[in-house]
Amino acid sequence: MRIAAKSSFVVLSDVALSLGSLTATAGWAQGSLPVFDHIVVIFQENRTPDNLFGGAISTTLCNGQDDFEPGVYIQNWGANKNASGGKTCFAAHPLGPDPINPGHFHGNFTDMWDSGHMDNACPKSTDFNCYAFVQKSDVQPYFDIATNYGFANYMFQTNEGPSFPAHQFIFSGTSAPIGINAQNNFHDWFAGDNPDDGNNFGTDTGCSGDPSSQDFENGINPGGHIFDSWYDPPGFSFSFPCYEHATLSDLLDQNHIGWKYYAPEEGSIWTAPTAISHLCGPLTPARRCSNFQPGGTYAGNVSFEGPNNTAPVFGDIGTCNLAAVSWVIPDMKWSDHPGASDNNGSGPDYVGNLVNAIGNSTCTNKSDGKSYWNSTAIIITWDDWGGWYDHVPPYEVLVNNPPMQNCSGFGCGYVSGFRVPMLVVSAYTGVLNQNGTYSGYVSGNTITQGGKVFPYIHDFGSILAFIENNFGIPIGSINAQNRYPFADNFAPDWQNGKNIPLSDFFGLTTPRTFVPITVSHPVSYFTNNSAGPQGPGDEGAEE
Amino acid sequence: MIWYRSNRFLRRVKDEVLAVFVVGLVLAPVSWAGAGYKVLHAFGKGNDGGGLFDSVVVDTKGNLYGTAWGGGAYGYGTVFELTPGTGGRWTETILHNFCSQPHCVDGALPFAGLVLDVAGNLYGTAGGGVQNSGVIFELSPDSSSGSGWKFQIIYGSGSGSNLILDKAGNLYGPIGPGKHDAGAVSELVRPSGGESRWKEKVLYSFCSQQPGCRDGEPPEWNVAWDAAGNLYGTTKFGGNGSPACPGSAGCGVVYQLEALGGGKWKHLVLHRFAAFSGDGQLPYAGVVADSKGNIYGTTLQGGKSGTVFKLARQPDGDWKETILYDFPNSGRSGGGPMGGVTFDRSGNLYGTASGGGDPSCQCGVVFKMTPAGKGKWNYTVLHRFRGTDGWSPEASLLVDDKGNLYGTTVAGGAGGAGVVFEITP
Repeated sequence: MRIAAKSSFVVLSDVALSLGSLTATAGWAQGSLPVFDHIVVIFQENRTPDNLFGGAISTTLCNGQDDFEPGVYIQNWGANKNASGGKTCFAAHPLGPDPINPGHFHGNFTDMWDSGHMDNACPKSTDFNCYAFVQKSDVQPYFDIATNYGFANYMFQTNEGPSFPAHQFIFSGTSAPIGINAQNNFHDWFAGDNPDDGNNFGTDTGCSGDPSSQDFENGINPGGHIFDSWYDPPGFSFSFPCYEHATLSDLLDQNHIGWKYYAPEEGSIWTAPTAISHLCGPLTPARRCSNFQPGGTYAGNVSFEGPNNTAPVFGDIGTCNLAAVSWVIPDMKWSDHPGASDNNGSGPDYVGNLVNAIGNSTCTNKSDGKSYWNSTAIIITWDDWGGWYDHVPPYEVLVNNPPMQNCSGFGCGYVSGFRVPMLVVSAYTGVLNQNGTYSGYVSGNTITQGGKVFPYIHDFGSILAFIENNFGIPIGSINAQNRYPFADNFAPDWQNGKNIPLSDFFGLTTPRTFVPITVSHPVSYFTNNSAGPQGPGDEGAEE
Repeated sequence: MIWYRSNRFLRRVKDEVLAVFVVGLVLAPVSWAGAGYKVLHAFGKGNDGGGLFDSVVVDTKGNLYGTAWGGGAYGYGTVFELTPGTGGRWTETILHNFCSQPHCVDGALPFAGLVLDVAGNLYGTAGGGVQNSGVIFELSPDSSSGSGWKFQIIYGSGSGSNLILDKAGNLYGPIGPGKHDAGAVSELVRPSGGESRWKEKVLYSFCSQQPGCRDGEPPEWNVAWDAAGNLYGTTKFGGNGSPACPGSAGCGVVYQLEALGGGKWKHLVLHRFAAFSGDGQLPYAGVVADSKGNIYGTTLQGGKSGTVFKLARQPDGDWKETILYDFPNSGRSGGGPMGGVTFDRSGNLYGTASGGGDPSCQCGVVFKMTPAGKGKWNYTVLHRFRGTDGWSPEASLLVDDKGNLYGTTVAGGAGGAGVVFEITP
């Protein structure tokens, strides 16, 4: 761990002082950030801030703001042009199992966004059941993480679609099939929804998949038009989702920075590396790509669950083998994904246990002797909005409704999506109060940072850019050698060099003591679950 | 800011600054019948750079200079020179490969273009730098150097925009966080009197008007002078927020920084976008001023598929916006302009639209707008890109004194990584 000496943190306003705080974090912290040895990105499923954190004050339904701590921006009702009175109050739902699984494909995005009116969510449901919040008691660990460490008011999903493209974005900064090409234009198209071959839910999508499965993926052009037949990868046909472009993992490899991607299963829509040709899986020789090398980047870095090891990341933490960068994709059972048989409500405990495993770890880094707690940043976010209503429009939408010829720059037609929750945990995250205790930091705090969106708007590109910066890589580099930038270069809190993305979350100048998260499931429930591995499959029509 | 190529340009910076405003001159209009499109250089082969997000500048010899975002010897972009030769051939010379120093302290991934001073020095901005803080650099002609150019960092602070000069050689643009962490327009004061360092002087800190940053945030594109020495620019966000603006960050503003003298500046919002149904939204480029002080620019969105707008000062001092062109939702005329507009000597406007155009490609157009009297303008597409000749023009154009247009594309061309092109009348 290295801490730069220079500090540029902003002194609190009078308002903040009245809240009993001594210091607060702010952006523009270039040169003052802690440098972490480990960054862990936990990628949960299908929630919005209003949905996941809307149950804090259930007695005030439909009564404006629902603030679980000062400065958060949560609301438990939504505009609805299809309902009488033009609004719908949120209904309470369990985290899981829950039969309600709102549609969250690109078409559902354009419905809910409604050209910025934000009043047309789930228009075809009988009771507007996407207007809902999760009971607070079901997600108490998330509230505890938020109020102890960091919470983002303005974290947006970069893309406007479901899991498959979202996982591509968090891994590489794009869901385009190629990085750049002289002969065709698909560098500025995006894989838009989840693969589909009818109703065959298998685990054979991506480059490691079986072409005979006839999984196909639709594409979205810069005008926002959806095409079922578009990019056919070499050796495949019918728009099979096997792509070839740079990823953040390539950049990490080039800089000799270790990484791991944990996922439930091979060949699923949540296993982003599966869809990248040069990373190439699978572990099954019969279906491996022609250039697959045992022990190469895929086999050495992509970790799947086993029958008796349903959360291998805990094992790596326990044996002091936490990688420099980890993408942690949950088992379906603790993913928070809505649906009757999708998650069982244990997601918050799973995430709380992961935080505790790092915070309580006795491991130290060989390089600098620092503890895992003092040298790890944990970023917890959700892959998409899940179709749930959220009252904050995307910060900008580079597509119009109905689709039209818009632009051809990066993101046109498919950026930006709705808010998703983001929690940040580290020894340098939080607000130091006058009495020496710590409380949670709210990025984009409506009181202390009210009305200002920059540099408090974050997206998946912000996470990628934060990782790049942490490891001394120029921000925006993922596809630099191919001369066409991805989402890491367009992180909304980067803005061409004006701020280090996510820097506002790391405002403490000295490490704080770890505060454990209270959980009700033990780690063993996740590491050796009798139900075995469960992923989303290769299509995830509802994932 | 796009400059004319003229002798005046290199004689006095003041003339450079004013040249762009001398657009009301009644000169013979340029005929565009048979306009010729030509790729001067296609990027993306070998260690060439690529990904051109801003336009080029030109010196008195007709050499073009620009930046490429990625690629190059180290993969992090280049500064290039294109030199005209015989037979219409152009030769590319790489003046600097970014990330040539450990940890890219010499900068990386330049997104913005260059500005040229009277002595032939080039100034630009890039990312990278010490702890990713960004850099502002100078490339100076240096006969003692093997490359003929000396590269040096003159300021270590982020700015994704290109900069402009005043007559004293000071630089202006969006530099630094300002007082409110929402960006600032600053002057970078040239060293004098034995000083060795450039000094940043903040002219205005954005997001001073709370709540909602009604004065705009953050300034992301270049600023422009008017003939009186005032500065104009846009912010991408701020101004009118939701629900008038469909994005929660706001739809941006056009601002003026009025020079009060004595180093003092006064900020004024000239227009907040999404002011009415059909108004533009999200300016993705700076603005230009004509000789009468009217302001012209583009928005990526709003209207049907982006707009070209004009702001004119009214007798009561207020500013009124007129939509000069509302890009249609048909495609062939282009849409989604991401670069600003440029005047020729006849008062015609030129620009690019990043999308639309050729139906098989929809990868952008070059357009011309001609005054038609009574405030009307005629819109003409000069070129529809087809991919192999360029893709995604996202920058303004350069117009030389012969009426030739020079521009760039982000992608496409023979190497796939963008082109520098010329369109001759």
